[in-house]
Amino acid sequence: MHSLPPNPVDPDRRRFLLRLTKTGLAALAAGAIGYRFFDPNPPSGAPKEGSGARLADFSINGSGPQMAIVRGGQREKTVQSALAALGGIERFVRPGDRVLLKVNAAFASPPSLNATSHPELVKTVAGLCLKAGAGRVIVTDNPINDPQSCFDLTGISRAAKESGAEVMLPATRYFRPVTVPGATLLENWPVLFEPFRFVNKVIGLAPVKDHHRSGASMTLKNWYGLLGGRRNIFHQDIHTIITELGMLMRPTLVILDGTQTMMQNGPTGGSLSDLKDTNTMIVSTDAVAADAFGASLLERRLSDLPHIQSAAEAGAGTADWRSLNPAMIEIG
Amino acid sequence: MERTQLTGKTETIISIVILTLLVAIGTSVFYRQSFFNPAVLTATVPDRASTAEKDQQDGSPATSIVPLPGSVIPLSAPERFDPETLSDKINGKAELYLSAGFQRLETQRFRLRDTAEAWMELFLYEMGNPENAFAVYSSQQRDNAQPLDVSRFAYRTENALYWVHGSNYAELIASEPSESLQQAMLAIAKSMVSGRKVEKQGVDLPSIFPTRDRIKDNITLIPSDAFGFSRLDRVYTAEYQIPEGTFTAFLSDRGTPEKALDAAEAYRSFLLEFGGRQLESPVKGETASGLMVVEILGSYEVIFSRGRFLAGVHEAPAIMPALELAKSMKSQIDAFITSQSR
Repeated sequence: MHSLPPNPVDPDRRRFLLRLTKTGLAALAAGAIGYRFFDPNPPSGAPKEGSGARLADFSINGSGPQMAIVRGGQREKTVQSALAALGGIERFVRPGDRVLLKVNAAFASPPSLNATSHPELVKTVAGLCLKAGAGRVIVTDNPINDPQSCFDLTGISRAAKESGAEVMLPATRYFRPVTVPGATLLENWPVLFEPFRFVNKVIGLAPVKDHHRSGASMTLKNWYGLLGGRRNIFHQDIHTIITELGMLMRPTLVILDGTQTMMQNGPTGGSLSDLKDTNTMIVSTDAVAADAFGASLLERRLSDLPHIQSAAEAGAGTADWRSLNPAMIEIG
Repeated sequence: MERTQLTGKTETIISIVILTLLVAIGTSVFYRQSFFNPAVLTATVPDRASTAEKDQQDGSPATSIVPLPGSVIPLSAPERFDPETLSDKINGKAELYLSAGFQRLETQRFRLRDTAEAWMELFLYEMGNPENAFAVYSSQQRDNAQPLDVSRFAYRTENALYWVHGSNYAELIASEPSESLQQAMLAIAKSMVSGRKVEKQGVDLPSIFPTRDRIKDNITLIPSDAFGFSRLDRVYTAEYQIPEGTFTAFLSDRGTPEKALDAAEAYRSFLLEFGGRQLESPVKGETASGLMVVEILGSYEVIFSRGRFLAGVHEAPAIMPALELAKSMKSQIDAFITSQSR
């Protein structure tokens, strides 16, 4: 009897192995494509409690005047007078201090339009800090438009250079996710963090402006220029974001420039007829109080600017600026 | 031969495991993707260069978006923005344009050839139609502006020109008030207007508003939510000054008489819902018929429809002047309709 030939491979098993091979190759191909898109440093998903960096508190402790309001038409004189009324720049800036001037350089606008911090003011304040012995003065902002154009066309670059300060333009690597405790919007949000690593004093400089969404743009809104990412989404909840900006930043000083006020068509303005000579300079350790007074220059009530009261309720300062017993000075 | 089973039990189990693994991978990817974080979409400085044309190799800006007079040269490359990126240029003001039908923005800076410090920036908004362009023009119109002979709706201030041309709204803003910049800007504006043919120049409805007691050049087009009522959109308004105070006349083309009547009724109901009290008109007769009068919060509203138009008076301090103005508007609307039918 002849033996049967070796059992040929079961055709069913052959078909299965073929299918398995094809499937395996497809899975490998999918895996290869997936690996191509793999991000070893993925964005975080839902915000984690306590995650993200925090900015330091740059406010100074101790007693002493907290607010000065000076009436006059020349920025160099009014800001010096206001600082003198608060004890002089030396009260806030000591020899060796490293100072950050957070300006409003949001738009590539000429100084005449009052849409940005005035270069005269930047130059004066930077010069005063250096004269007080500051080791370094940095001027920065994250503008809406191209940063170089903004700093150049606003005159702020030149003003900084002439005073001996340095401009730090925003760069990708300068942003870090920051979380503000108690905030609903500023959770793990990219903030221009790098300049703050080198400084121990922060001064905000902002013009008084109308704003189409929030009603006003003053010292609290000025911190918007620290935000990165697609920050324009915050326009949908503008009063909350301004409140949280007040929670984000505890500056040494704020300087609210009401020499001219943009009464309408803010925040960009465009026509000199949008401006009114209000001839007022406000310097304060309390941004909320400064803005509460600034509302009067815009001929707005506090109820028209709900972010001021909500910033006060969040502990960022006081809306009752009179309670600070400000020095009121008139200069010719 | 009898067909045998294609797969055995082991093969089936392996297949199920593989499929289950694939489903699990897909599910986990979907789950992670659901936690969208807009902060990280661009957690860096946006690439603004992508919105601007590249300069020429010699460093001079590329093309100009409008013909330039010989005294003016480009200072920067053109930039272009769409509804997604408009706020990258004008920040919080973007909503004003977006709510009015904005489509795109072209901007560019120029300077005087012989004065580097004297520069200007042109903002050219494409709003989709002349009505939208008029809406953003009128809502930002400055008081005490001077007339500008560039187009039907145009004015100038000390350092800027503003005008409407077809579906475009344009702003030309100078770095400082100077005669030489004004001359250059005027030349640019005129060349822009003459170089761009349009089907329809401006809007016609403002001419309906009676001129008596009207505050000059104070006609505005509200694109939406006029007087706090969501159903009132595309409403023209004009301000009037009388001894008792100021008040507003309004006018809106609703398309058909039925829609105009419906809008009038809806606005009347809206006012009554918020505490208004409908009054009987003190004036009788044909010219007063169809006028609905509502007293609310100490002022008077007069509402009516005429043909396809909704019209009336808003926040009048006294009833008789309001009724007089409403009757006058009725006549104007009738004349307008007649002229259009010829």
